[in-house]
Amino acid sequence: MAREELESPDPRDLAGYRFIDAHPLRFADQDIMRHINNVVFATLFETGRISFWRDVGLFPWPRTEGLMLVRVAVDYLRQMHYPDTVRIGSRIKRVGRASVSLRQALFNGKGECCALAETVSAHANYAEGRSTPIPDDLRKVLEGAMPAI
Amino acid sequence: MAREEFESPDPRDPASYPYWEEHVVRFADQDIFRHANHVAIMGLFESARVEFWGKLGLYPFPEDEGVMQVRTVVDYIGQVFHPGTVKIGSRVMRVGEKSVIARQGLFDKKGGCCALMSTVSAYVDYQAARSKPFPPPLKRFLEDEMAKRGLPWSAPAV
Amino acid sequence: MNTELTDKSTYKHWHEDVLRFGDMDLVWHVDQAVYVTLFQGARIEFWRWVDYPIIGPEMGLVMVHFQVDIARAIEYPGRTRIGTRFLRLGNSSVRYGQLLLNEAGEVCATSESVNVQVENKTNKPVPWAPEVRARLLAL
Repeated sequence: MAREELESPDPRDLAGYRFIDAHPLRFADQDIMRHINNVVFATLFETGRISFWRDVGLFPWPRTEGLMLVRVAVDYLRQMHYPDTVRIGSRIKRVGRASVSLRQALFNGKGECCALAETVSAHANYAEGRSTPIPDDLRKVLEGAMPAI
Repeated sequence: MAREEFESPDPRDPASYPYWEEHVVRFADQDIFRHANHVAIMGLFESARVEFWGKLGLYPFPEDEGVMQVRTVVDYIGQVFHPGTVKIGSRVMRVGEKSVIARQGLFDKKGGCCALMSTVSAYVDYQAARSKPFPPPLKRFLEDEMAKRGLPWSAPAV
Repeated sequence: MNTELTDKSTYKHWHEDVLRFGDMDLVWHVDQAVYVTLFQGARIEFWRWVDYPIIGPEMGLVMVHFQVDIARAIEYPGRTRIGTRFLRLGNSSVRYGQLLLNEAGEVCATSESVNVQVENKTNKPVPWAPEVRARLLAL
């Protein structure tokens, strides 16, 4: 995947993540193909992402405005199988004017990278359902969480 | 989303999809924001995609070889609420030597586009877990599917 | 709630799980449907510990009864521990007792359920083989 090779640090490298969340796979995560279902990958990325926001101090979100997911892209690199415990690495990739991108990776028990995700969250006013620029205090927190590994 | 505006046909246009599935939004699909969670939406897309593969004769997956997804991208455009039903349109967007891209749109009752998905699936030898070229008749079949379009929203072909 | 099931010392097998954000419903509680998944996961681990194949090529276990009593809501984030044991062994069935604790070790839920061993093709009950029966009773 040429796209990821250009990114530094390599997103497929576990050592490139300061924040890592571990989760055992569940029996019910398997689908008819007897591997972990693709939608479960998204759930694992989500739970790793919320843990990351919690660690940064942003979760629970305020009631009126906060980050809202607008795009999720997942690259499936290898199958995952039950039973195993996976690790989810999360880091901030980019802070824009009104949105923030996260880079995430999913590793199996052997430490092999099984999937990569890139998510974009817009800063939004929930009642109006409109995106708004990231306020200065939030920007400070996000930029402070961008890792120098 | 400028990205979609350059795509032809516009994936936010219901008439661009020849295949439709209807799904019920479940109570359990909701999260703390009282809208359908984004993973639940991926689940709805997945379900509709499997049903779409079924209509094309690619599902149930054969034992030896078939499609397996390698990349998915979802754009969340509007929220989806319970209770309600959604309609998901699907079509073949592109066919390569070893992979196929399915394009899908999720619409509310009024035809408003709530989410878009594109899924790249590789043609895979399941035992060897390796991708392989499509058998030529299957490739031709999928290429023919690319040209298919739907009806205007006023007459959804669900 | 069945107090027979809430005694932690009666369980030899415990299975731990980590709750997910997606497990929560709109009131920030773990959704009831997830209890089914959590108890199921613990039973599957229990059988792996017993070392008996419950999803075989010829026969397997099917669920015929499932009951949950909820004492307190499970809250995210956190871990759960589920103890699983047999309550009764029938001719071709088994009744389980299960206890779900939160991270603080508080009793959150108990469950009773029944599996029947059936032949995959016909769905007809298959009695436990005598040696399997003896092994299960020894537990």
